[in-house]
Amino acid sequence: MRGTQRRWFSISFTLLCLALTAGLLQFVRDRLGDESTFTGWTLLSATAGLYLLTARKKMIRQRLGPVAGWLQMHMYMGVFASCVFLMHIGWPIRGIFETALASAFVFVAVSGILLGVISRTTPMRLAAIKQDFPYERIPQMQLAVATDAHEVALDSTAFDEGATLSEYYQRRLLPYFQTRRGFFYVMFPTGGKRRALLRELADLDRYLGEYGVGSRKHLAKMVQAKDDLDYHQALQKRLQLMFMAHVALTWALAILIGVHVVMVYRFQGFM
Amino acid sequence: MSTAVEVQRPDRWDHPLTDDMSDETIAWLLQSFPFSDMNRERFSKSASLEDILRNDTRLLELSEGDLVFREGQYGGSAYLVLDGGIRIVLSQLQLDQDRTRKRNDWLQQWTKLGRGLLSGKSWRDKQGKRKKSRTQSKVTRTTKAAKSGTRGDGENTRIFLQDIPGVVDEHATSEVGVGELFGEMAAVTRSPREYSAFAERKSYVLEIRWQGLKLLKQDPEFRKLLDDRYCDRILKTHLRETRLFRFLPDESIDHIVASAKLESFGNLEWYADYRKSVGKDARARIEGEPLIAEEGSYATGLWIIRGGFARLSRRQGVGHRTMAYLGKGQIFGLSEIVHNCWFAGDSPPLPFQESLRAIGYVDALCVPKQVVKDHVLPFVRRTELPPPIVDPRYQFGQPVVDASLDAATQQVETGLLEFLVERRLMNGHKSMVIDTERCTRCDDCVTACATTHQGTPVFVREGPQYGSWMFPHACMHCEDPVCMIGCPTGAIHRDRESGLVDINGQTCIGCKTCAESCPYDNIRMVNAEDCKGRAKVDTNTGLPILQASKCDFCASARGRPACQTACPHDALFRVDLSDLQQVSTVLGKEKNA
Amino acid sequence: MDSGKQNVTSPRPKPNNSWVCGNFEMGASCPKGPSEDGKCCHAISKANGESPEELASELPCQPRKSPRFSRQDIAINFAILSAGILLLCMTAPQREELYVPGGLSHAHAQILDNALVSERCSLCHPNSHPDAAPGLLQDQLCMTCHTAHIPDATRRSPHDLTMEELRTIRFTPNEQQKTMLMSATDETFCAQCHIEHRGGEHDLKAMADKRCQACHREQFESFAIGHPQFSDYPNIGERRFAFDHRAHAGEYYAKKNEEFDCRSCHLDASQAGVVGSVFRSVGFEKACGSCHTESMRSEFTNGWAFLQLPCLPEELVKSGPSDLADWPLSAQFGFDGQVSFAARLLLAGEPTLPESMRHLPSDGQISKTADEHLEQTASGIAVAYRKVVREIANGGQAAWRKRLESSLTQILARDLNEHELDLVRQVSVGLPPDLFRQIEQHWFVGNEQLTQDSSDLPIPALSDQREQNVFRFVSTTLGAQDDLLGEDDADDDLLLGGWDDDPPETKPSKATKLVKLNAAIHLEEGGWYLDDQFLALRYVPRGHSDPFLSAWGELITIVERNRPNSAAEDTRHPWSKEDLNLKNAIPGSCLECHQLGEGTTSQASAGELWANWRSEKRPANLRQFTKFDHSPHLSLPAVNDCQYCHRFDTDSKAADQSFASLKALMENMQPDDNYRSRLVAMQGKIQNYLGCEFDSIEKAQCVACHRPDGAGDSCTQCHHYHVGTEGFLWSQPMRRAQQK
Repeated sequence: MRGTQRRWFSISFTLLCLALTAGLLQFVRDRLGDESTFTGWTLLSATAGLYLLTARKKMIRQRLGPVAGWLQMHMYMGVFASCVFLMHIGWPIRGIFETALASAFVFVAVSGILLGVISRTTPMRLAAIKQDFPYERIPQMQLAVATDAHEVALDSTAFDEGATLSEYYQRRLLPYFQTRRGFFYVMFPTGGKRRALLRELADLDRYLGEYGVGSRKHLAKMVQAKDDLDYHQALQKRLQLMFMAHVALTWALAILIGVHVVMVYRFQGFM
Repeated sequence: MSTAVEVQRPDRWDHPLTDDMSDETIAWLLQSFPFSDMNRERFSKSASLEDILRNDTRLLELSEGDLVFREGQYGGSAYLVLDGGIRIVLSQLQLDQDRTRKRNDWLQQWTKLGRGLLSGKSWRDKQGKRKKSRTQSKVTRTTKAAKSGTRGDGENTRIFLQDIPGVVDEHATSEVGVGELFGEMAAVTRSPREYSAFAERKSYVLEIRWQGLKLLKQDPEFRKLLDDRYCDRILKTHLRETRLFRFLPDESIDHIVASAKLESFGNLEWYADYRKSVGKDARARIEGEPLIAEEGSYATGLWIIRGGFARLSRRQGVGHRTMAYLGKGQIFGLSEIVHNCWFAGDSPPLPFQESLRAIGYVDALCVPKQVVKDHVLPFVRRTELPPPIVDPRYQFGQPVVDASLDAATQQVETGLLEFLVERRLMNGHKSMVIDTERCTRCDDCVTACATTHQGTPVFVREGPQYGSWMFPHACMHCEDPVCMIGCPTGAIHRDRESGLVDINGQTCIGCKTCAESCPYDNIRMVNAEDCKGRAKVDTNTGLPILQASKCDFCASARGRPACQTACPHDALFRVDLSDLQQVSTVLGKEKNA
Repeated sequence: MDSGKQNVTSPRPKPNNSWVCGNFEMGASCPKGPSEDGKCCHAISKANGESPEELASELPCQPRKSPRFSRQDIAINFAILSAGILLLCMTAPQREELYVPGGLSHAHAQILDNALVSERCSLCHPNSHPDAAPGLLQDQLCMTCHTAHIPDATRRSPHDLTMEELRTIRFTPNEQQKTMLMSATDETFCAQCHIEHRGGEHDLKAMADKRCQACHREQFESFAIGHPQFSDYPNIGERRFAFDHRAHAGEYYAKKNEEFDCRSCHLDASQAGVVGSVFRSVGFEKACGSCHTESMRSEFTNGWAFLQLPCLPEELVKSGPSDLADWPLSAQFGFDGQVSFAARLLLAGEPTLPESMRHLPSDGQISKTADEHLEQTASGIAVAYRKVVREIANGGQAAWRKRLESSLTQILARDLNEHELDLVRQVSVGLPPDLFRQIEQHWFVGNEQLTQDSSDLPIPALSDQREQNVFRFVSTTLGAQDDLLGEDDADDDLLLGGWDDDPPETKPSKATKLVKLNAAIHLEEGGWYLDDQFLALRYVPRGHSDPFLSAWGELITIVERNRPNSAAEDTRHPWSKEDLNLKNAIPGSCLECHQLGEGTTSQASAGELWANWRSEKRPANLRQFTKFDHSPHLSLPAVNDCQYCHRFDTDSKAADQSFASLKALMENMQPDDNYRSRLVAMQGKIQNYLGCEFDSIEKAQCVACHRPDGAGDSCTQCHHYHVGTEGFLWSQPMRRAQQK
């Protein structure tokens, strides 16, 4: 398939570039050349290349090839840049400013890699849910589910089959339906809670009459639906957060790099 | 919010077909056939015959050799010959101009392909390309290109044929005399032209857009006139079109035309009962569909689909299993007939193995078995004949056994087929599909769409889902765009060349007809805005002006649509769902693999 | 949620707007939506005085940012924040600490510590500071401190050598290579190798071996593998003493069965030199004295006849020129006596003499003069002697000096340079004029009483004494020394014996008895005395490094070296070129070890250096490409035996013979036209032979220890990079290259 071909091409190309850079670096080293200038400019241009994706996304009207291609370029170039970065920095990093610069770069790089990973895995998990929910409408759907559940719970009291279901709803389900999931769930969404609730609900059957069982089943459906919604919300939110983290330091990093370059040349006396 | 701009609400006949219909012309028209013997009282006040003529018609003055329209073009107009003579070219007419243009297309495609490789275009595009090139190779098989030139300029630029006699004895043609109407079928059925027409000598032709035609049809004589003209002329072309018949001599064609009977099933405006059928269970729906040919019944003839879609199904258990759907030009029952005529020998003939049902509206042609045997099969390449039917399901006097549900036996898994058919998605030529297993819900597609459409996206990233495939609410540019049916002004129309369905903002009066008739909810009414994003409001009422908005495939940008290029993960792409081949390669195989 | 009919007029969301209606996510957004600056449409319409109800049934909301917008927001805020922080740091008093990319190495840190914080950077970084001089390069700032090691002129060229120098040592950065270089390497700067801000412990001098090979085209893997063998290392350069190590090690020490230990001569722990406490020589007294002082003294038991009155026949005295009238009787029996080189040099000033003197044979024996000239020559010389004696008797040292100078000027046909004058002065030092007066009074005037004292002790033939002098050169090498010493002893015995049992003839007279003057006894520390017996003025040198002799030797050498080649001009020379033999001219065995003549060093005026009396000492600040220090090696038991590295020439047998044959050749070389040139060549040969007495050190010997995992094998361990110092000495191969 085309996809894999392209992947292999890109990977090998990236590796080639890396090998080339490493070789050149060694060469420069042996030639008494200025290695840090060499790696520095390579890194700078690579990083500049990374900003191109942003530019492309801004210029949606121009026909500059599909963004997908640019994203691929962005990813592989990111890997390349990170490796060149390791070549560039002297270890251990000294100096407060340098450390700040380096850590900014590392943060962006790491978040980028993470983003790359989860933007591949998350869609699978999202698609596992039968239906797709648009993020911005999820709260509304959650509300709908909650109200629906509430009505069911209320109705169940109408028949004199005891208040078991409504009590349980009151105690366990109400908070579940009414509240949002916690941060931990957003980061690592799991079906644990749902399973627990469903089991408990199922256990209620032995106290319920025919009608009660019906509404219990309905409630179970609601629980499932709510969990699906939460799951979707969590996954999509996580993606958005990660993306946010990735772009958060973009411009700050650019500024730091600029200062770095200027200082280097000024202090060498070339500027 | 920026302040609104006041505009005149567009109205029906704000934009007549032409402005130079003078009163005397109309008067003269009213004198001449067929308008002379029409009953004026039948027409309403609001839309009198004069008005129709004034707004929905145009008088064309054609000099010798001028092309009126060409095969394959889309057009919403029928033509009435007032004077002179029009000749219709039934077989494919190729112009030398095209030859060159085609070649350029090839070049473009290869360069595009190359660029695709570099810019990492997804493999799906390649599928599309392959199909396109296939069609082209078919087109370029005609004998010899007709010399042609262009005359006139601007609005009324005309391509004209240089040696008419040459064309006439090159191709099968037929004459259209004074008072005869042509081109109405394409106009009514929203399908591409099936033949080319040119003026044999200097002649006058009245162009009538189909909205007008609909009104004129209120007159019974006129309606009759329409129907009579149809068969003989169109059929010839059509049969020639059909691949199976391409080696047939003219007399056999004539035989077929004589014997063949044209039938149409279902409602031309099928979207209404589609809406009703939504929610019903599959079996009921299928059984509700008008039956064209039933499995197990005698294979009396050959069915050729002319328009719409037909469902190819088999009885499985108590229900029906959809095997495929047949589109325009596809044939049903050939294998049975061939089997009976060639391979069966003295064993009893086989009945139809599958049943054919009309999905919505179907226009089909039935050629009797005998005619096929005598006039068709002799001229068909052996290689193109279907193989003999081994272990048939239906044999007279034998019990019927269900075949296994093994997906391998059919091109596309039944589930997907059923889904597509149930949603009538197979109607879509360029339907947007999102692979939810790749989509990160970043909404870049919507944003890009908004950017290219003055800040308002023309599709919604939601829609029916099958497995991981999502079919968002974006215009599919249907084979049979029912949205066009109701449009009073013809604002929603097909592009003459590309066949893309487009809405003309100038003439759209925001009557919601298209939006409501679209079976896929792909059209929405939005407050019209000008390029600066300021809402338009009506001068009189001050209320916002509604207009239909739908995906225009970014036709103006002349590239791949913005949403598709903007998708960072190659999750969004377009598929021609009417082509099962493509459906299987793009949607089917990947899932099975 | 596409199930069911959806409202065709429901508004499409506008994702590009930066604000979203607050009610949107509850699905109740108003069609208009918030404004660009995020105001709810209700608020706006209220402001416009319209009633919000007509818009929509929705309630007023708190619009929220669209995700896209908030992303941009965050990014921009961070950017502003960081920019602000940076600016803040710029203004901070301690900004240097904030921006410095790392600590300095201790060496530099200590300098900067007491500098003002604001000035620190600008000390090394040009235009890092507003009031730093513009257009300054960093190296120039380095140079403010480091000029001591590196001459500023050649600072920017490799090894601090000028391009010419580099070319001579075959450094030719061929163009193709230079283009390959990332930095133009004929233009170097400090920071290329010495990288700062790597923390205190960072070694600024650390240098990867590969970097040397950036320019050095002979690429090799390591010292062990691929490093070229030593061609002649250590190259001793020009030897100043002819010291035959092998002979000493092999024969003399063996004979004396003493252990031949290099360190006894070469090691002086008390001082440190360039290569540690090992030196070319630690001086005669320490090194050679123990064996050679004795023999040296014994050469001059009776001293050296500086000038001796010749014998003339009586009739010549009678009938000869009036000056000869008072010629001593004891010198009046036929022609005899030898005119020493010294005398000839003295007399060279005499205008009349030269032609008469040319008839003298090479050895200066008057009696051997051809008969037809005999009389004339003899009388001429005698008259000259008479004149000289009287002159000095009256004029003293001054007269002596003048005479020497005049004759020298005549010989050299030019004015004397200060060095020569200085030599003349040294020769005149301590010359006793009263001896000449005595000659005047006692020998010439008072003949009578002298004749009484004349004893008939066996007189060792003058010729014998001369013999000894000449013979000694050969004998040292032929190992004839002992016999000779024995002979000398015998001689001494004779003398002693002769003087212990006083002979009957020498009866003490009535006059107070004076002990007869005996050089061996009375002139223990050397000096002048009159030998009444042979009417000779004699000089007894004081053992090794006698100032008079050394000065005299140098004078003679000068005279010899300046001898004109054409026979015509040669006439003014005191002795003919046939009879040259420095050995005769310079008494004693100086020339056996010392090669008299211009030394290698430039300062020719400094006498001793000029004549190679002392071994050459390398200047302390010397920085050659190759550095070596003996001291750490000597502390190692493995290598503290010098011969581990300094091995005698491998095929010693052949070498031995060759040396012997050289000597043989030299000694029985027949005087002829190009005698002198041949002789010099011969000496050169011998010199070279002695020079390459030792094998060049095997690389393997070093490799034994110097491996990456052992004593280390980095280039900089043995090689200096910065050699462009004042004291840079071309090593032998380079000098050869230079001459090419």
